[in-house]
Amino acid sequence: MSTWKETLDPVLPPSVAEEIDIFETQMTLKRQGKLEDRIFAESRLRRGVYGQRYDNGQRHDGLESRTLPFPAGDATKGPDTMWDAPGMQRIKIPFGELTAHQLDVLAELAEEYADGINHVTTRQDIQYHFIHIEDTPDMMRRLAQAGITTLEACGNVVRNITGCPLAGVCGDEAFDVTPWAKALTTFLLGHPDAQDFGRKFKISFSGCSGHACALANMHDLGVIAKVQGDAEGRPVEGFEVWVGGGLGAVPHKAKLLTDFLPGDELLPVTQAICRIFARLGEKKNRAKARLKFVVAKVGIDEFRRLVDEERATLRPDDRWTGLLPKGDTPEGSESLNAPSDADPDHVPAPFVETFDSWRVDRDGPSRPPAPFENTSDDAAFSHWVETNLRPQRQEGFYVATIRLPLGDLTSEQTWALADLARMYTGGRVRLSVEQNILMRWVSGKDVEDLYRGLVAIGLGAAGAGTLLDVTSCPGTDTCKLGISSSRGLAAELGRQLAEGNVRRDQAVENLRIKVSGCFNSCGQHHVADIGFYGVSRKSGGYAVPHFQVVLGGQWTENAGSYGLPMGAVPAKNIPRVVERLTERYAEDREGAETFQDFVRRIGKVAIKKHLSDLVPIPAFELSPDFYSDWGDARVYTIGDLGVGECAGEVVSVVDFGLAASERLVFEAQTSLDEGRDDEAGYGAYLAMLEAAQALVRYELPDVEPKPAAVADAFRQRFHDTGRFHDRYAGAKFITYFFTAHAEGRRAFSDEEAKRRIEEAQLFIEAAHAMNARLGSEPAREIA
Amino acid sequence: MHAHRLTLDLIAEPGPAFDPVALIPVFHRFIQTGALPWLLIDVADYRHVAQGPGVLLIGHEADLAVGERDGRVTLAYGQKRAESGDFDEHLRRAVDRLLTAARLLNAEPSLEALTFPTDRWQLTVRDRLTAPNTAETLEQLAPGLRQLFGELYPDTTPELQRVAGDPRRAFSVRLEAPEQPGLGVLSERLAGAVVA
Repeated sequence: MSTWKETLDPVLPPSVAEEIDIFETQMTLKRQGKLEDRIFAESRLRRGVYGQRYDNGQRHDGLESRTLPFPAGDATKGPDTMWDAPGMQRIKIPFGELTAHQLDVLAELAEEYADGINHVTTRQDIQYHFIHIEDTPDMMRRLAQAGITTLEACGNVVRNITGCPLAGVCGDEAFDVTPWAKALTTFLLGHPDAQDFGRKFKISFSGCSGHACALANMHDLGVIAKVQGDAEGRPVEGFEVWVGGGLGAVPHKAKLLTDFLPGDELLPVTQAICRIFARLGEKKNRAKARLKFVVAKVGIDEFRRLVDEERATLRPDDRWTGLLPKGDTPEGSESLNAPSDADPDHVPAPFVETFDSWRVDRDGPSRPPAPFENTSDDAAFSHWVETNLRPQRQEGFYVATIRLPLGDLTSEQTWALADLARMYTGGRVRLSVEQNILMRWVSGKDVEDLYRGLVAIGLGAAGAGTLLDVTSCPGTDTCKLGISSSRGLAAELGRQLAEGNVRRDQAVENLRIKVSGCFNSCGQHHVADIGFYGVSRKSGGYAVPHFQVVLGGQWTENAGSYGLPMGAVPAKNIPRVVERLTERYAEDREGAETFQDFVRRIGKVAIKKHLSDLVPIPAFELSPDFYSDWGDARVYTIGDLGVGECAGEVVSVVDFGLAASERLVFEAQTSLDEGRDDEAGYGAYLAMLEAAQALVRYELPDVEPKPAAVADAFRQRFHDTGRFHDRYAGAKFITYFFTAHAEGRRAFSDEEAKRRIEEAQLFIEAAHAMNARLGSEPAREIA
Repeated sequence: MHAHRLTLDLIAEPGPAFDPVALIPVFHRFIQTGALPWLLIDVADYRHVAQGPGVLLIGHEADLAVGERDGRVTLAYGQKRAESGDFDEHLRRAVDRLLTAARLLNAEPSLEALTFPTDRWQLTVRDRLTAPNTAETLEQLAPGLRQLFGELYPDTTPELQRVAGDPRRAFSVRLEAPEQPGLGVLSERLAGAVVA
């Protein structure tokens, strides 16, 4: 019987084959107990082999938490991660570009090893879910044969480099960033200077500053194409460079490193930044380990100086320019065929060879251009044209966007899509950060035929980039960190918003909704007009799925600003929140007012009031539906039942205190909106103090109501015991409180106050989680 | 044939009242009660995907799904992990488990509108290395298939038809029988054959 290893090893570049063999050997060693859990875990993560919900072998089935009796018994593939547990495979798709052949292979693998679904992520990756670790080496071999790698898809490394999916065809771009993104991807993959980070490092390429296509402001390194004249006045391609951005629990906007970096400095300067991050980035406390904390700590001016200094120390590497595009041919660049690796001391990344397939011309048309004129009387087609089709810079060509529901695509659809790409778009597609697929180079003559082809495979839905096009992270469906069902909510919103194919006011139609299953923002809720992230609340002894409503984010201008949470609403009432907000916006909007301006003008107090009747949780006996999440029939986390509180009738002192803390953090937001930054920052601290006091009082009713006394008692009972620590985030949230307490009243900038409010919100969420655990902890001495 | 990744579809007939959302609580209950003879883990909802796996009961050895294949609603048993035995044994186990699952679903009041005529099946071997989509693979598998389906439909000749046409697709074969015995009858015939 032949194997994929025997079949493919002879045709793969030796270094690629060897690299996968190494992983397979590590798997064997792990099964033999010869490799530590944490070492193996990082090793598989760097190959994109990720954990999934319930992989600790425990699952709450709605009645009780049960152990999943996997055949491999207690064997693990990482700390607290069972060997047999279904996992996730992340596959890097640099700047989201896929060929038809790659689509074919992805379809095959999804069918053979996963659940038949290719999932497009918010970072232009593909993910398979419910895979077994023992299948991953063969998957990697088959992907490698198609020029795809999973290397560095996860782990503390440079993640998938994302790019504007319109690069090369957009009328607003300075130039096509595609070959630059290819060059940097090739350069950094396995680069020795990018292997010793405390956390992940994300890079994005934008062709312009006005659109959101690559979200430069929310990346560790975001570069925006720019052309500037040299000393002789000749145009030079380069980049505006932003560093230290990031979403996550507490979002940071990137800072401007330089407003123009000549293109030939892109690779060495990035290398210098990687070296600084490896050297100065936090290694022990993951919660503080992203580049944004380094930039915030040293300040952008000092960071800039460090980069310049580091750049000057680098040994020259021919690849800095050898990998770059040369010349500026309209539809192609030959530069990526340039030889590389001139530095004899540099250990070439073994897998770079995998990417020979990239070293070809940029994508381009396969059919002659033709103008498109919609003469069809098919209303559905016309609607699709209106929302999903846009002209390219190149006359006679168009970009068609496929609106993928929740980023999901079946294997059958993937093969059919590959055929459509071969027929109409030069055999390539691009994935977008909105979990959609773009087909470029569609001749005007082919638009309607392509549409009919897409409809035939269930991919002809209109509404790309509109309210209907809801983005979501995996949430509780598969993510270990998920708190509420983001995909369940997104699917429900999609269904309700599409009902009857209602056409809304254009401004409402253009709003973006994004949903995350927790505060970590993988669904990018911070940059949506209307964002949600999953939290839980307790009612009558039950946990109830909720979502925080986040308003005021800005999608355009590369994620220009971040929204703030308004308050938590039961998950089952979220569709009504969307309905209320969109109706109010449609009715009360002034002229061409954006949603952000509308929220600002109306004020968060008024909006909160407008939604207030949606906040109370009906009793379980009256509305049990509220106690289950979207798309999930189980009673939500019944294992979190608090002991010692009667169902429905008694509101504990902790509940009162936490409600007060939420009011205080909201008041801090209104202070911020009104420009009273110092008050906002201090108010956020007071909100945390209130939450801490609520928990302390549960165990120490007579605690002196002074900040120092509360903080001391809180430290002793909740910090030093580790009780408050988050399972994944550790002491992150409790540190927010103690930092704020130590600082007391001080001056805040707008950004600092905003951050403190975010931190307060997260601390309060953690306090809610602690409250849910209080009754179920082992008996403690109550003073 | 050593392939163990196979999907066996039993073609269903959904009435107009069938709503796949009703499967979600049923599948969760299957997990709670251990209703099926393999390790069940979770429920995945893919109703938003056109012609997709629909509602999926994720297991360790195999998944069970009510979704669509080639435009038809099916109950699908998709084996993932290798068990002991050769391909014919895997197939026999798949038939057994699929019939068990179908009988359980048939007993659900909320799924009354979902019926299984029992005369149409589709086997897909999700292993392009061992079972490429060729006539040779059909030749190799046909005797075992005829044997098994001969036991399920005695005195008849089930028709086998390879789903050809696209070499990228996994090997797949449709089986049609000239009669529609009850699910229980098929299970009994299968059990009888095993004992014999």
